[in-house]
Amino acid sequence: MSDDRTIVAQALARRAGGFEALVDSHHRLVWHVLLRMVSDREEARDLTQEVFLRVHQRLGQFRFESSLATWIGRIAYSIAVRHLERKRIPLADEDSLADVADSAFCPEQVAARAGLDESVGRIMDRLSPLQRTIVSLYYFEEMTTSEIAGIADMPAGTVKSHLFRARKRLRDELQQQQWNPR
Amino acid sequence: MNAIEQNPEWQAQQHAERPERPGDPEAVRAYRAVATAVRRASPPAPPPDLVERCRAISRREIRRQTIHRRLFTACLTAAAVAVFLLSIPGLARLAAAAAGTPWPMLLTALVLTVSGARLAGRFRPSGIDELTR
Repeated sequence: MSDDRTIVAQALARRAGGFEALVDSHHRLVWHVLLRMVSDREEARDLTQEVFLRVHQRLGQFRFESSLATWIGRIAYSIAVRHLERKRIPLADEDSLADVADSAFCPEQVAARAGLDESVGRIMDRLSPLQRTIVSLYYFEEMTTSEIAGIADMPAGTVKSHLFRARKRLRDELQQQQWNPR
Repeated sequence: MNAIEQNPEWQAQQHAERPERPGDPEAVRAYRAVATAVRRASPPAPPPDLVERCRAISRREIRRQTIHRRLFTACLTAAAVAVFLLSIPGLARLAAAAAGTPWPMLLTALVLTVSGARLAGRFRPSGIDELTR
């Protein structure tokens, strides 16, 4: 948090390299959120610039109530949501929660199979934008469910449910591929 | 309690959010397996030219704000000069005479509006790409 204060203070004071340092420390997070949400590199490029422009315009309003990463992540998320709404792409699947009542989760067995990375990538692309983003933030950015909840502006329990459903779908589809390998 | 909350695995997550820390060996292995696969399947870092564009946003924004500030100051100065000139009796009468006929007034208003719009359009960023190019 003290790092956040230094970065914000330097950017607000318009010191040389102040805003650049902020971009350097958060561009990966913004890129992953946007790319996972919109699934299109060109659109993610435009939106990444829009996010940092908004960050630049609103940095003075940051009150240190969360980490800077969460605040920037939330801006990226909200810009991505608005973009998806404009394109009428649903954020989350409308599938029922009732079909996941009793499942034994064993990703280790799944992980031992050949060609896993490619398969996981393909299946990740088929998840809903919200689930893709949550899985990516949890496993790739190593954020806690509370931090992800801060970004997506939803309860931590809902994040856990999405995470759970995403993993179940990963497992189910990987198991299916075991019988029908491409 | 809904269907997800009845699931033993989901319940376990409530106590051990990221199993690398609490120390259940099975959970640790499971977490690492998924994490490794997701990391490998994750998109690479953003392209360097994009990062450079984002880094330049601050400089361009500051430049844009400076132009806006100067434009505002110039308009204010022009208005003050106009008020000052109109306060001179002879010039005021001349302006009143020019404004006496309807068409010069309309023509003047039209020219001023078009010039103002063009001037404003030149300094208003029309899009993010233009701003960061």
